[in-house]
Amino acid sequence: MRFPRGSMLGEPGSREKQLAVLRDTLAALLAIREPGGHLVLPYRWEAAPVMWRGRPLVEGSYS
Amino acid sequence: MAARLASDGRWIPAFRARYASWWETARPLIAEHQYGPAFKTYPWPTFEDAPWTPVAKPLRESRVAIVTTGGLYRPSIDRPFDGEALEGDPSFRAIPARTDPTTLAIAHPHFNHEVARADMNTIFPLERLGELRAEGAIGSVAATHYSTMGYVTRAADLAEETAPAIALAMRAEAVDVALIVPV
Repeated sequence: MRFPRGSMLGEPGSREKQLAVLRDTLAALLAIREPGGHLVLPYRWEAAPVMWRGRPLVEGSYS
Repeated sequence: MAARLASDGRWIPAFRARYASWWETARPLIAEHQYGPAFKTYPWPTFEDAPWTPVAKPLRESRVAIVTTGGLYRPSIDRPFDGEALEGDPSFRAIPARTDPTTLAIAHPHFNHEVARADMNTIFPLERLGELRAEGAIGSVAATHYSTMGYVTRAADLAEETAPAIALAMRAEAVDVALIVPV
């Protein structure tokens, strides 16, 4: 997921997006057939950038 | 009969040895919050194999539990995580499903808490899980969910103590699916 650190399911209050992320994640239980498998989900952060230590986190950034 | 869990622990002895020498050089760096330089030489585990459990039942019949690494705990009930520990805190907290997520404290110091405070579903989607159950997408929401800290350097402790304890607790509640939310 290309969401900033600390907001893995989507923007606050973004109920439909959060549910979509959860549905896709749980669907991966069947889609992934071997250890180490992963899916890339298409969702993008659509709110103001999350700030961390005075800087905006880049989409997908973990630090 | 003692409960057994399938796991691959072959990496652990070598990791513990490499971790000990890594910590000697990393400790002073981490004490100064120099995480980048410290983790350049972190002895990331490599796995020869990973136990694989095929899905046994449809999602609509499955019980789901959340594991969040946001360092969530119930103030005045649970012992807080040690957010200052240089090697992190490998313990976990069990959070009953009836807990109001807005009352949870966040011990993980390395992320912006504003997003979670505005909507706990962003790191602990208990409310959303309830909605998926209501629409029949999942079978049930587990009675207990779990939180660990997101910063823990002692990977072997997580593998030998934390994860098995959580897995056994989930098994006791007939959990089928663990939803891990990294923070």
